[in-house]
Amino acid sequence: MMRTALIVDDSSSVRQMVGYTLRQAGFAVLEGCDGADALEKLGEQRVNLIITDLNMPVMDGIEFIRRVRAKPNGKYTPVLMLTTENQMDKKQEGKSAGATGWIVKPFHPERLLEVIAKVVA
Amino acid sequence: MLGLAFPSRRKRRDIQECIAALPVLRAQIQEAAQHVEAAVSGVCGNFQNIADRSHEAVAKAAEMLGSGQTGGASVEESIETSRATISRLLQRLEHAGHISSLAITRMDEIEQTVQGMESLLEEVQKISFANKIVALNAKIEAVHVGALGAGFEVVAEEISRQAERTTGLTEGIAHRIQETRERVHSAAGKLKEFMADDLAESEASRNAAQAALQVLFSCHESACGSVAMMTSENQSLRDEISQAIVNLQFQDRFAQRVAHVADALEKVEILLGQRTPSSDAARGDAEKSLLEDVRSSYSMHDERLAHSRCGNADVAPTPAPGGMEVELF
Repeated sequence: MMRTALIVDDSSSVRQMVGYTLRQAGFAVLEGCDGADALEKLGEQRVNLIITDLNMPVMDGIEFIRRVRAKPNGKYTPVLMLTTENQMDKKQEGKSAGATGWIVKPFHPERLLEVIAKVVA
Repeated sequence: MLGLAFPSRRKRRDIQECIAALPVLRAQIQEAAQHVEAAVSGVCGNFQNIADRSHEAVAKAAEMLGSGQTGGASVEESIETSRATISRLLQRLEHAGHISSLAITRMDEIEQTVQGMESLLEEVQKISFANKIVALNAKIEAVHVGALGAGFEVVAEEISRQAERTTGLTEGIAHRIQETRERVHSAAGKLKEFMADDLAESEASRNAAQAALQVLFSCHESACGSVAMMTSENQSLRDEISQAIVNLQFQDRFAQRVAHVADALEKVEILLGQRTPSSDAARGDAEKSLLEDVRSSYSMHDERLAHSRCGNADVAPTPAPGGMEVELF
């Protein structure tokens, strides 16, 4: 069965690059341009992986993760933060919100897939 | 709250002009950032299409040459099948040649048997001739004894007639046997000629088929080498595209910095719209507050370094984007 990933980023080029990398690895990909849009796209379905940016309009990545963790279908989903931000306090904030890992952009496709392999069962 | 005073009329006019220019500048850099994002998306899409097509071409070529995973017959399999089919055909030709050879032997044997029959018929003809002589002698003897030999003469006449009949029949049989022998001899001769030609043609066909298969096999090996090279090139291409994807992510960092600058310009616009601080101290406070505001909006290490560098020449230059940092919680 094909695995599904949700990519959340306000940059269409980043969604495109991450999406291409994941499709090459056999994922079906859903996209959201911010936290609120992604929550709507997610709805009640279960996905195997979420990759989200931190700074986005309307709803940022931290709030998005909190909302996902509050949903029955998002409690145990691996959520990777993919952001340019590398400050410790922000990372701590992400961890507290329920992020599974923190990746600082720019990402390398092969390394990203290695990390994903570690967190996706 | 800052201590504010009314600026001079000229200064107010200058400030108004700056305020009017700021939204335009903001719109310009935002639009430029959007154009960069659209261009990067296009380039990224092109790279991805190149990678996909290259991968697809290599996969199709590999599949066609037999290293693919689909169920259709590959070139390698087709060559092997052709080789086996030609080999079977040649075996059948050889078998047919063997049967023809047996047939020729049998025909030779038939010819010899017929020759034996001809010899036997000659013997029958000799016996018939002897019977005729006997009948003639019997007739002569019958004449010598006169009326007493009349019955004997009748028997001699009958023997003579039977001997004549036998001679006629044996001549007919001999004629038929000769015809048969000639026909068998002719057929065997033609079959021998055909066999000699057939053997030569079979040998030529075998050599031609082997040569054609060898050429096909060489072409196949050459094509396999090309596919292997294409696969290697395709992998290099994928690696380069992967690196291009890393490099193209400058756009995300660029867009964020531009967005932060645009936000800062908006704050400057709002600040300039307010009354000008009355003293140097108040102006300093306002500047400090704005700079702190701008600093807090940063989301990248590079931005913070650049900000620090503006006030301190000793700060190290911004490092180029390096390998991705990963931390799993």
